[in-house]
Amino acid sequence: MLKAWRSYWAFTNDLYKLMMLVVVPVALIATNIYLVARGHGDGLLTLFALYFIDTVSDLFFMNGFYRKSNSSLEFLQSSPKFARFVKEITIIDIVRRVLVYQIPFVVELIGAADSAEKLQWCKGNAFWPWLAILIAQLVVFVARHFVVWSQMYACIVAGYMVLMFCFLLIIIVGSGSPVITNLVLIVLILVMSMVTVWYTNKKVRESYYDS
Amino acid sequence: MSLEYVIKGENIEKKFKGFTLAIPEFKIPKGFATALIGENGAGKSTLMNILAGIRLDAKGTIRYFDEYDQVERENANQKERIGYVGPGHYYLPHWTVKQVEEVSGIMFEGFHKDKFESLCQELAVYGTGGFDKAKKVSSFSDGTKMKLMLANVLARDTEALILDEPASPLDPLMREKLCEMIQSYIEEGNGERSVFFSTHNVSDMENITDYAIIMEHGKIVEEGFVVDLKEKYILVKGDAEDKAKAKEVLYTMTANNYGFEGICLAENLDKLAGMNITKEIPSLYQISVAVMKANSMMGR
Amino acid sequence: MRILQNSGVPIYQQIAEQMKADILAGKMKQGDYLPSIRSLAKELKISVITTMKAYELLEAEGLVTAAQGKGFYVNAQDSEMLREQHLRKVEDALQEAIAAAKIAGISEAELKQTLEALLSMEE
Repeated sequence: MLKAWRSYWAFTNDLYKLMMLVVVPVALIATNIYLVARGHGDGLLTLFALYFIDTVSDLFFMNGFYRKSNSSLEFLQSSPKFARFVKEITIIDIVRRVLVYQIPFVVELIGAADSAEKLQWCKGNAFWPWLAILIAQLVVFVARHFVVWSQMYACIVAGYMVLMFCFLLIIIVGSGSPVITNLVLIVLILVMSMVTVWYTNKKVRESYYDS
Repeated sequence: MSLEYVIKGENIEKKFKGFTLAIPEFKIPKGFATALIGENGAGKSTLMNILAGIRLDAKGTIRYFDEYDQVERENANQKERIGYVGPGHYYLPHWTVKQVEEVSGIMFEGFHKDKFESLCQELAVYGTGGFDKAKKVSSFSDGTKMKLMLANVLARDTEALILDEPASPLDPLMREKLCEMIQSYIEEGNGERSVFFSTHNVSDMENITDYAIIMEHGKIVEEGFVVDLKEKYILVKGDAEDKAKAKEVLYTMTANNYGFEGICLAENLDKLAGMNITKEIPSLYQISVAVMKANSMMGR
Repeated sequence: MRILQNSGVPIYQQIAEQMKADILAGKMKQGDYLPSIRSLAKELKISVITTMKAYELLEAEGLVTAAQGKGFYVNAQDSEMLREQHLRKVEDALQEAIAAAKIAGISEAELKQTLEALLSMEE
């Protein structure tokens, strides 16, 4: 894990680290606290922020690293460790997203749950926001392989679909005991993480072949 | 002279729309500097990408250092032993020189940071602005980027370099330096290190070129040691009145009202008997142009 | 060592001839190693294959011997053999002169005269 962090640290530049690890989470937490204090907030803001910020930052800071048509990989491709390197930074990226978006998301949910009865359930099921973030980021990863502008639309459409799926899940699983619900959530979290890593790796391997 | 080969390929094939790279046999001799020469679009970069293992969608078999097969190409250790430099999008543009150094340390076992830094100084990667590792790669000119890439591969422990157009973005002084560096690299290897480079600047690189491969339309049309090529082809110059007769014999020819000049295959030299001609040893550049002309689609 | 790029004599031959002169003049002694192929190439800024071919030429003439993995060393110079070699060279050159004379229809006496004239000019 330490090696993976080292890879991630070397791969991203200082501006990216400052923005994504400090500015974005602080801004999101501040915004959410403000909104919740005013009785607004419905659990959507953080997820949309995730879609938007991560897509834009990838294009802007990382030259669309995860895009299929990314052409700036020659140096990395010429190393025998390319696939491993990408796997490492993808895993850290997942961890980073969970760490960075978790707190603002929870703040937002708690606020929303207080104002909306139907989200009361969230308080008893700690892993739910985690899962939501992982699903959201898989959508970001998949959407990255679309053309730049359609990415934005794809993110918004997919965002609604993911949330609907989550609500459905809450209704189905949430009727059981909190222990079972949390177990199901943990399994789903693991599956989502694995799918994301697998998907990214697959896309990166495709870069060795004609697009 | 018994030869060993650093990379051997068989039946390499890659199809694009309207272009096919097809090379039945391919060899790079070990311990030498080999030049890949050809028109734009002849397939040089595609071939180099295939050999460097950054393009894996070609058919055929490739063997590295007589140890690794193509099946292992993706992750096998031969990439550790080969340094590749390309003219395209090599680094991610958001990277700084510092990141290049750090990522290199992660990606390659045999990368030496101190050597990288001294090479960057030596090649004046940072220009007159002093040692600034926070500089972004995307802010570099093509020439500086090439210097950085060269510093990067030369700071590694490698046994072969694959350099795609290293001379093109460099100024004359740097080209001279490039030649020196290639020669030092080969000399230090004492027969174990090889360099394979593509170039349009044949004259600048001629003095260090041992083996030449000339490509046209995705095929190899001529190859051999430069000393042998210089015996196979002869540069002849003659008088205007022999123009028509000479044209039938010569491999390629240019003529004007005052005389003709052309490349003749040594085996056909007898057929020019009786003409008042002068013979010269052609330069590799002259041989390359002749071979390219004879095989080019240009103007057909 | 001087190398002329456009002299009409291949570079490897120029190198071989200059090394040969050094050996025959005793500047390089029996058992001395020639500089390694790749370092000489680097020094002279010429290709490796050119120096390799030059050394092979010297080896073919019996002036040096290749030692596996160690490079080339200078052989003992057999003065009788050297004389023989030079004699053969003289014969070859004269033969060429005779052939040229025949083509031009120059008589034997005239040819001898020319040779004598050239010899006296040398003196």
